Amino acid sequence: MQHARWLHGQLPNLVEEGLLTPQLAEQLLQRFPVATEEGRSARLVTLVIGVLGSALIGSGIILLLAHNWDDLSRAARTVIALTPLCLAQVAACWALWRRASRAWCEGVAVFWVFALGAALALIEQTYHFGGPPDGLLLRWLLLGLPIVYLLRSATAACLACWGIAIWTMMSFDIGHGWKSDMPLLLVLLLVPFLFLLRRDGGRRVASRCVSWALVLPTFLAFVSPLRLLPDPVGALAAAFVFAGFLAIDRTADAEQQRVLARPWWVAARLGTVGFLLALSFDEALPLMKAFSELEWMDALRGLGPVFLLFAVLVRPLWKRRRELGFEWAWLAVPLAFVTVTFLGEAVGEEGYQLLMNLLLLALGIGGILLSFRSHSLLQLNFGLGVVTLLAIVRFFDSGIDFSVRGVAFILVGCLFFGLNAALVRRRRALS
Amino acid sequence: MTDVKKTRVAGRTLLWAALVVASTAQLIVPVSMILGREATLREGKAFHFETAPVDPVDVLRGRYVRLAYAQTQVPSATGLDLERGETMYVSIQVDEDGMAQMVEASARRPESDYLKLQYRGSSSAGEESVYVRLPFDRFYMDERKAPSADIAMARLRRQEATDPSYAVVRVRDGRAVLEDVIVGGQPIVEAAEAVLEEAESEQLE
Repeated sequence: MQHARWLHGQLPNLVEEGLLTPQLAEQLLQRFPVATEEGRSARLVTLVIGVLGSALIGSGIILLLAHNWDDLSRAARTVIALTPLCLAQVAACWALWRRASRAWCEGVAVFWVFALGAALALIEQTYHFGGPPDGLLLRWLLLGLPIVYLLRSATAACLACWGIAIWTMMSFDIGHGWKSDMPLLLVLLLVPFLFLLRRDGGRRVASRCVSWALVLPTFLAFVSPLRLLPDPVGALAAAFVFAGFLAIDRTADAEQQRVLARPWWVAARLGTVGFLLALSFDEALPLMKAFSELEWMDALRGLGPVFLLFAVLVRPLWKRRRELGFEWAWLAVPLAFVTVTFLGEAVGEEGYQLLMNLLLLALGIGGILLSFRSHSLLQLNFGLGVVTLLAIVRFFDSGIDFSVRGVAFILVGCLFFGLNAALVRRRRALS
Repeated sequence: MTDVKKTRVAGRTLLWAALVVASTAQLIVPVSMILGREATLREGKAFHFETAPVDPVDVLRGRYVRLAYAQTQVPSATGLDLERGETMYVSIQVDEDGMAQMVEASARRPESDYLKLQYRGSSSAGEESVYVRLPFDRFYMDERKAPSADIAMARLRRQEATDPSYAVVRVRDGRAVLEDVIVGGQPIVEAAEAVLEEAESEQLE
């Protein structure tokens, strides 16, 4: 599709230069049509209806099977369990044989995913499998992942992402962390699909949906050393993961300004701010002490995948460092966090908290200043949001006089209005 | 055939091969789960584990009664040194009341009947013992009958009946499959149906 668009763009120039006759250009236009906006909308509606229909049918099958038919023999239940799965596999063969439309492929993929889950669930029900359903979910994920690639289904990929996130949270053992690196493996099995979608330029919406869905399981997969806070290894992993997300955003479609198209940017910013804010409270003070007792060799082993991700993503950005400007501050947050924590040991608990707050304030103010260079309302309001959030949070846990807090809030509110107005005026003057 | 066409044909062939492999795996896994458990139910030795059911819901697998077992700790063999999550072998014997008792937890497979379980840590009791969580802790039932099963159990406890409720478990080579749950001398499904019929006849009156 993107090649056809390119050709449509080139043909008028070729006709003007006399390299092609108008008739030949017309024939080429008809031979390689490009979807119109109306056509695209109609296909999207068909696709959504197909996916919803399949999801409802699949869910209905699972609910029927969860009914528990005591009167049926085990053999009968086995046949009932496997029949929808076989039908779904036949439907997939048909879709591939006939090179079915995207709507059909997505619908068949969703039905196949649910039929597979229903088959596994009914067998576990029939033979009274014990324990929580995380074993069932893992089998469902591992057997269902090929569906994503076979039918190139973004919906199946999104379902897989949610499944990975749910399974990861279910398998977390409080006090002991995760039992294996399975979350990381599952995420790595899905990542190539995102690259396939991006390569197919006509599936931008699908690519964005899968990106959004992939954010949470990716975060969970890389912070697997996390046990219970205060855990310095988990905290370090979280800091590097958020910085890594920013690097992913930058290596992807960095020219996009709309928030909906930048899930990694949103996750990086919100995650970093939330993480630093959480560490500025009294309850996180033991973390500072835990750093001094850390076994660094064990920590490096646990953080290996995170460091690798970070290094792989940040390396190509080093060449664009001048262009990135203030974004480097966000990429350097893990380093700043470690520095603040070690300095905290030297300056004491109050000094540590002050440094954490200053770090957050610096990120907020830096974002505000950067927004005037990039003329981005998103950057401006994000920076203001960080400053405001810091003010609100400290409102509740500091001993500052009410009148002072009141004045501070008024000032921040005025800043919100004033800076937004100034930036909007500047953007209008430039356009 | 041009190179582009050859690549396309090779790509399609690979796709079909992947479809066959994935579909086969999706059928083989559930079938092997079934065959393993059918073999245990057919050839395994039956043990009775004393229990007390409670009735919750599993979103994916339906309504079930949860089985809590009286024995949650087992003496460990001398020198048992396992990491959490590792396999341990728990030997089982039948006592004078006909109930199964877990006798010893060890890192090596015993000669007698045994269960293969996951090591969950040592208990805080004075003598050396380990915690055990039996894997057959759910009995799936018709959603209308499951609450009635709970009522039947509660009655049994109130009446201080001499027949305890117990789970019938088939064990073979360490693998256990839950076959039935007996409440007041009858299968739990029948006990639940009796409670349901009683409730329905009371309503009619």
